[in-house]
Amino acid sequence: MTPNDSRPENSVMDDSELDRRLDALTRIAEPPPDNWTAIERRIRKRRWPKALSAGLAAAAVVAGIALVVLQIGPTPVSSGGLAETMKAEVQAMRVAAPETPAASDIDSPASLMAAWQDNQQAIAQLEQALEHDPDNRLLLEFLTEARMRQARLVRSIGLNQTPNNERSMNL
Amino acid sequence: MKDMDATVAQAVPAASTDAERVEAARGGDQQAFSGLYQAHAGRLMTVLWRLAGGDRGLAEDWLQDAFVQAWNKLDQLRDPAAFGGWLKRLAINIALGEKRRGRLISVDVEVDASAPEPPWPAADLDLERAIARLPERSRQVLVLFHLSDLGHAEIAELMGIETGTSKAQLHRARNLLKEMLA
Repeated sequence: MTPNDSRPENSVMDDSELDRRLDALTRIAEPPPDNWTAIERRIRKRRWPKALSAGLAAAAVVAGIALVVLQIGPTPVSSGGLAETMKAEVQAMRVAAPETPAASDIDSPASLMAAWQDNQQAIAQLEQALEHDPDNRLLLEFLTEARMRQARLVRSIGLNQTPNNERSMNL
Repeated sequence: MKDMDATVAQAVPAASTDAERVEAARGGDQQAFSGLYQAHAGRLMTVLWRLAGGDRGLAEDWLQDAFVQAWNKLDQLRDPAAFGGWLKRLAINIALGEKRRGRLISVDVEVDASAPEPPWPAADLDLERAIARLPERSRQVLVLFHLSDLGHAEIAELMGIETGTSKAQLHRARNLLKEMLA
């Protein structure tokens, strides 16, 4: 055994010295100057309320189904009639709000799951409606959008998974 | 920065509390929210830089993400006066979550052994660099315990580990630091 082997403890800092140095570390710094500008740019985008998101999806489904019912009903609807008005309303809804919320707006696993389930329900209803009217282009468009939204949600859920919630989200 | 401070001072009285700023920000007042940034970003940055192992760019990204998430989730904050603690948890979750996701892609990337420079006048550069060189898990526990004032139970919950594991990682981190600084 060498002299160095016999005194490793002596060369190691003691706990109180480590605590003193840790306590003395800087706790508050000047905020990064450019960061606020970047944050401001990101939050300036209009927030997409979750309730509106679900409401819009539901409204779109109801409008789509109503359109189908009107088109297959006993009384033909004129091209300038209610169906056209409804179509215009639906288009206006699309223009008034983005087609899907940003992932950061609904990025908690629970919110993402809820959005996914809402969207899944909408897809099922659209598919059902399309069985009655396979050539309805508006319904097909809705279905395509809903499926794309679903793909984005699945991706967001995948990105937001943590070891804690992976077990509860078997997608 | 001074321009922004002046703008903030105009919009929100100097004596504004977090709760008042949160209430104003909930109504869409971005200047009130910038007051919250001024009040909390500096403290968060020191924690995030250390959690990032001295990677300034990563720490700044996390800081941005934390404030953007806070803005989007302000309605979920039950007690506006508790904004600081709520934001800290958001930021730590982002940092730990990204590390966990990163691990799925590149398993246990070796900690950068270069000598990172804190973006503030370092009181103890040797210790800062030693912390940055710690293994990731040990560093996270040490930073959260000693520099973010969290207890083992809270650290365990945030990191998804057992309380005993948190204590063991802290013990390991402290021993490594003592050896590095001897």
